[in-house]
Amino acid sequence: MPAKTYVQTTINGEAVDFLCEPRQSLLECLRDVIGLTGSKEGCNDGNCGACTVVLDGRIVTSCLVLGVEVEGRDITTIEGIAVGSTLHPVQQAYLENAALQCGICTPGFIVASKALLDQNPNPTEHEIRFWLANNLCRCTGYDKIVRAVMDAANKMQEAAV
Amino acid sequence: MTTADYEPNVVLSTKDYDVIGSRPIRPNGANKVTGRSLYGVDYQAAGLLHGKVLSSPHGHARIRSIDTSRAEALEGVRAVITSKDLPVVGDGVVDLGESTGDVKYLQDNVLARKKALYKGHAIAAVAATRAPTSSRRRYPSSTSITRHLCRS
Repeated sequence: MPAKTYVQTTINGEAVDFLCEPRQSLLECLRDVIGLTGSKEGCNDGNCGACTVVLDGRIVTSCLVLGVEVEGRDITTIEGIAVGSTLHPVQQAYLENAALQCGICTPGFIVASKALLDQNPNPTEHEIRFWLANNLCRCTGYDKIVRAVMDAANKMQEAAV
Repeated sequence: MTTADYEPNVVLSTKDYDVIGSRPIRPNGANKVTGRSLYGVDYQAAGLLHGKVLSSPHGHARIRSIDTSRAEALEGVRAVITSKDLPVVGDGVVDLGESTGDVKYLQDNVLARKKALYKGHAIAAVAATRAPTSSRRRYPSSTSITRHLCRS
């Protein structure tokens, strides 16, 4: 078995260190080593987006990032979206708009949706659909998800005024 | 009322119901939007074995032989199974409740015996502990079970 590498990183604002094999993906490190199982493995080849996390401000599919690559970097997972027991407006909008059913794709969708609203607070429906094109959902048919993101955008802008 | 004097889209009742027409929040939704919801794959039991199935790369192929010795020799591998480990059943009809099925047909679809019947047909399966074989956990069977498949 190859020697494990010691990795120090920041996950959801907290310093985290772990040991990982050189071949292990960030997704495997999050789920199997660190125990953050909110990020889901759907396809393990970057198609489905269920493992989406934010890495230094950019959304990435964590199954296509190696664990050893995140040394010294900053990661936000689905577990870091809510503040304490208060849901983020995106999460609240997903709930209220019934934009989830089985919930496997939901963590990836919410991480990606929040990243969109962080850089574009008032996206058009087209922009939302384009942005979420790398997230697959087999339950909802996407319409409710898009409406949830538009709803979240409106509420966040109202709150900001 | 005949169809001739029927007016579509007329609100026939304005009565409010407790359930119909309401928009309740999904009861398990909060856990799902925060990533706390635990699915089967999220559990790690002590001593958990991980399985992997070797499936046929060919849509229709005769199986000449399967050599599982290298897979069995790998550290952490607890079991390797092929169709040889299953009892041979003759023709027969099995009661499936609302329908019936042919026993031999059903068995040939569990693990391929002489022939792979479709691309993806299970050929062999391996169960292993995660730690010792983790470096090969992704494809323990396909890298270690020698395949002798040929197109028929």
